[in-house]
Amino acid sequence: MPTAAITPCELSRLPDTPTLADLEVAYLTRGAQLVACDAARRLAIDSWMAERAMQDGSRSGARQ
Amino acid sequence: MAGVAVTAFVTVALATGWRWDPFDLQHRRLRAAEDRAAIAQATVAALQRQARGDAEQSRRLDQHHQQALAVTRVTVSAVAAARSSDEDPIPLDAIRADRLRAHDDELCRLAPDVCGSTPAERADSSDHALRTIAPAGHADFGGS
Repeated sequence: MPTAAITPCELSRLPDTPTLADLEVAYLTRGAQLVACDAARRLAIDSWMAERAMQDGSRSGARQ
Repeated sequence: MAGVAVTAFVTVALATGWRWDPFDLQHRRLRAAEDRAAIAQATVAALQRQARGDAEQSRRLDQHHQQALAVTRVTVSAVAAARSSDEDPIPLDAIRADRLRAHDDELCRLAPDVCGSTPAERADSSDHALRTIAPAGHADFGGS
């Protein structure tokens, strides 16, 4: 499984004394983190499904 | 006379396809060769499947890296714009900040894995977050 697929998603947080710009940055960063996390989820599922299809193919090849 | 008869018999037998194989060795050899061929064929098929799988995985990883780079690029640019408009910082209303922080704390309590950084590290959290979105060795953040 690729490293990206097993790395936890991230949640950007505000600093201790936030400014409006910090809020804007956190908003932007969280959007990017959401997209990155979804991409990692898709990568994990695609990898798992491909691995499973390969195992099924090996099993059916061995039976023939 | 008997020798001539035996020779004639053997000659006729061999000419008509008769073979002296009382233990069926030829058939056994043929079956063993067929088994070896089947194993070799299965091995080749497995290797071909493996090669196809590796190529597909490589393509998926490349696609993932390209997307991560694109996400980082647009976000770094937007973050830089947000920071550059912060020459005269406007503090966030304390009550609002506390409300947001309380919600984040609750999220982190429910899912500690997504809040890896300590409060001291949080000041730099957005830059750190953007570094982790991009694949290692691919992004240039220019110290933003």
